[in-house]
Amino acid sequence: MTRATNLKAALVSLLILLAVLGIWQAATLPSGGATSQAGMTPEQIEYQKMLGKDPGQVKSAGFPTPAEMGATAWAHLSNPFYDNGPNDKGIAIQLAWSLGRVGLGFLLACLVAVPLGFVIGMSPLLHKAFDPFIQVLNRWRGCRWRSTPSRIRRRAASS
Amino acid sequence: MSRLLEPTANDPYDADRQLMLRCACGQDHAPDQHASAMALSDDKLEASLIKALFPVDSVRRGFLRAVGASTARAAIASVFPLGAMQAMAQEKGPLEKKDLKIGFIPITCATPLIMAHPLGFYKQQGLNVEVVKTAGWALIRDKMLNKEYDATHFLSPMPLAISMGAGSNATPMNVATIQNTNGQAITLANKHKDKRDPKLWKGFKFAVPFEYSMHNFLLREAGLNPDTDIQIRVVPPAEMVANLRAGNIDGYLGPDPFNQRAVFEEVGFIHILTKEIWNGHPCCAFGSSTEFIQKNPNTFAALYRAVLTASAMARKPENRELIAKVIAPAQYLNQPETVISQVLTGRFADGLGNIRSVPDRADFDPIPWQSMAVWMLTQMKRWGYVKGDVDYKQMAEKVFLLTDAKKHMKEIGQTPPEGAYPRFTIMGKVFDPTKPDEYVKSFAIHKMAA
Repeated sequence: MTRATNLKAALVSLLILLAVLGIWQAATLPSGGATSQAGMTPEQIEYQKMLGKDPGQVKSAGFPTPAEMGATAWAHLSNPFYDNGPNDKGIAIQLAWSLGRVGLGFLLACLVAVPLGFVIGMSPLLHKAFDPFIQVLNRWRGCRWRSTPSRIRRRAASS
Repeated sequence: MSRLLEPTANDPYDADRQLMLRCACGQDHAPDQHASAMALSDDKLEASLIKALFPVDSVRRGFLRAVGASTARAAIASVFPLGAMQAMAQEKGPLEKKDLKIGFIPITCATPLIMAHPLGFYKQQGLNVEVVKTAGWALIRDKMLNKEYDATHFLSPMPLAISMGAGSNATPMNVATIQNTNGQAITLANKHKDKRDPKLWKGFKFAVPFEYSMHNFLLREAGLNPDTDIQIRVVPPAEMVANLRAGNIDGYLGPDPFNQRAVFEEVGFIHILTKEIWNGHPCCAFGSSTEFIQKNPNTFAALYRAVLTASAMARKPENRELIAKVIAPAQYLNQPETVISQVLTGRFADGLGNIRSVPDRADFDPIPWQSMAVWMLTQMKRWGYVKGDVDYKQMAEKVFLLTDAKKHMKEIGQTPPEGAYPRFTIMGKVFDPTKPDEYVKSFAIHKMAA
């Protein structure tokens, strides 16, 4: 990879990002122009206000523009620790709870799994006994367990 | 502060209450001694205090002649918290549990129990309540069953269903007050603007908040067979507008503010308000498990008072704007304020270009009439949620605490209405609570085994 290619790749990446943002912005802008207020009766104006828009404004389709998303994200990130009760807490507090829950789950799993792992490694009988279950669970990428002890034994046997 | 009106002596034929020979107020004196016993009045307290300060009467009289009565009063009040003592003397029984968790779904049906939090009605009763927003009705049921919540916002049929073991383990639950009457609507997607006649709804997919809900029962009153004509799905209220927008459902009979929100988001229109199906129908309730009520009677009474005070305030039209403002923020309903105020004030946009004015679009009448419970039980029998014979009256009186509601209303100075089994007219058909079995059998569409 030459430096020129790296530079060009970086530029193209940037262009892709800008293109995606641009398409997003264009697709989520409220469609249609604003109609003038002049032709509306007071009741129609009140109706528009009840729909949360200034008379004549057209509502968005429900998906926020990048600008709106950026504004909301900034609002949350700039005040991450607020606490308005059990239903409305800042993003840092919510993240801390989620991570805490994950961490606790992992810790509890380790308490069971690590001793079991030692035992399986040290006892050939238990190693073979647990093997079928581990091979089945090995199919799940999240639970990968490499058969390190057997590889170590094979190397020791061949040396 | 309190005005404990004379409670009636215990009626030996009252099925709801224990027969105690002491006074019905719960204190340890005979019923006819209630008035004099309750006169641990302010005067008596003050007299005891003065007596304690001046055991020798001549000294007291000399002191009063020297400084005068008002000075003496002020001097004593400045060193002794007489006002607080007098308030404490009038207090009801001590609260067993002060820190409570009350679940709610973020809909305007629960307005009384939600607004009691920011407006301080719980604090006023000495309770430290946390109102916890819950994702759906099944979670509310589960959290009540495993006692994570002390009391909760229920759909009115839920305590009946849970007590009978329909859809969950049978656990006795009670309805303390009805939270609201009316306040729901059938909202249809914008593409169905020309299909206002229910006969054109064949093949539609409707959503309701829960099986054991007034919404489900009222929707089935439309005269369509839920097996062959329409599909009815359960969708949590907070997800109804998004599902309507995505086209997963054609309409829903759901709670406000989600009908008004669909109009606000311009994805749907309000087809009919449920008050046009059954004017004054109950919707949501405030209740708790029988176990909690028995273990914590004073706490439950305090909750009762707080929620009834809130209901009374919510019923007055002049308060509705304030209430809308107070429950709109993210920690309660999390809706734009105009959506909620359109629901509560009854002046709203209907999604078809018209502004309608229906002041009793939502009302908050707290009385849990037992005939409402009987109606719900007949519908549960009709749709096969409950099989076999149902003792309507017994179930209704066990679950719906009508007598308690009336008693607590009197306690806080409100006037409860008379009677227990009023009749109702639903879709033009009169419901007679004394003849529930005939009513159930009178429907052409039902799912009862022959």
